[in-house]
Amino acid sequence: MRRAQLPLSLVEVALGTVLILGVALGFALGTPAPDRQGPQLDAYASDTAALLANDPPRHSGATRLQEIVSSPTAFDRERDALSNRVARILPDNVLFRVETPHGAVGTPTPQGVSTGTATVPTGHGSVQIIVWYA
Amino acid sequence: MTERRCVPANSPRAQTSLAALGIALVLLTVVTSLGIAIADTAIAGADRTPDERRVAAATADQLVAADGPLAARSNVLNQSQVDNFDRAALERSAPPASEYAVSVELADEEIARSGTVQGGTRISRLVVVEARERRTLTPDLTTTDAVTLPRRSAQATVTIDPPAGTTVWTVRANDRVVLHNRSGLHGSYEVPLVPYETTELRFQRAGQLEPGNVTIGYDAPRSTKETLVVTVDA
Repeated sequence: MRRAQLPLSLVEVALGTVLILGVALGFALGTPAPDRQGPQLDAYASDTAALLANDPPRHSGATRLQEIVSSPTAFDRERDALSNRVARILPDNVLFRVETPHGAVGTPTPQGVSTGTATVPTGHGSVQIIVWYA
Repeated sequence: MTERRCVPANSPRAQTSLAALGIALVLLTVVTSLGIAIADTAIAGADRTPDERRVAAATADQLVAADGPLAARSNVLNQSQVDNFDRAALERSAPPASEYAVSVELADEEIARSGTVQGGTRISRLVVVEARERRTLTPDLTTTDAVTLPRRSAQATVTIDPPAGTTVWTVRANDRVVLHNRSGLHGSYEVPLVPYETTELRFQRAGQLEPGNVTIGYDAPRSTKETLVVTVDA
């Protein structure tokens, strides 16, 4: 008795399975996880900027934000107060960094975490506020 | 099942067996439906309930905006407007609130809601709630003719009641003339001020002023930092 061939249908079904599972895997892995933190962090950053811009200054100037960036001396004087104020504005589980033309306060920004940023233009250069979850 | 030969026995080629074809079809159908199920789950997972999130973000934006129903300035809420806020005001300022269940909380206390919220999407905003309280200042103007307001204010009420023989002509706020009367000021006047600078009021007068002849009422803002949370449940 002669030997039968390997049934061609089984070869086809194997190929078809690989093809379909490949496409399905593409769907499963190809869609990125939704970024649920980004919008909230951006909102925190822009709220912080708005609150600083609305605070009355401690010494001179029109607003707190303007007072901070007005000169390097003023920034050095206000550095600690600014850090305390921003830490009080933000929730406890959020860390921050405020970068101004005269220097920065806050924790160094870590790599690979999702952050929210807000940039405020002022008369002395722009101030950038970066926040992220601790 | 053994192979079924439909060709003459002397032909060397075998044929696809019917059983193998059947199994192949069943397998392929199963795998296809499995694949479609996986793809469907993946797409459903990537669908980030965008409506809830969008409505929550837009409503929160509207509530903290400078021209919003609660705000005095951007991110600064007015206490009296917060007290008057209710469901009708929420639906008027954020129309999606009438379609979705929206809850607005300030400092962990619900100030308005439309519908019952269970879970849903939350957006928190950081705000300052500002309450204005009226304060009165009675400056001693016997030796000096200027007084500095201790807080910045958008307006002040200056009441001048000079004793006989004393005339106050002009009141200046930081060298701007805000009140002037050649024959003498007498009575209560509303004075607009610039809220972005510290104000010094200077009284130009002839004669003596005793403490109590001039009183100044001004709005002292008292602000507290709070969190505004908008929760939307579709």
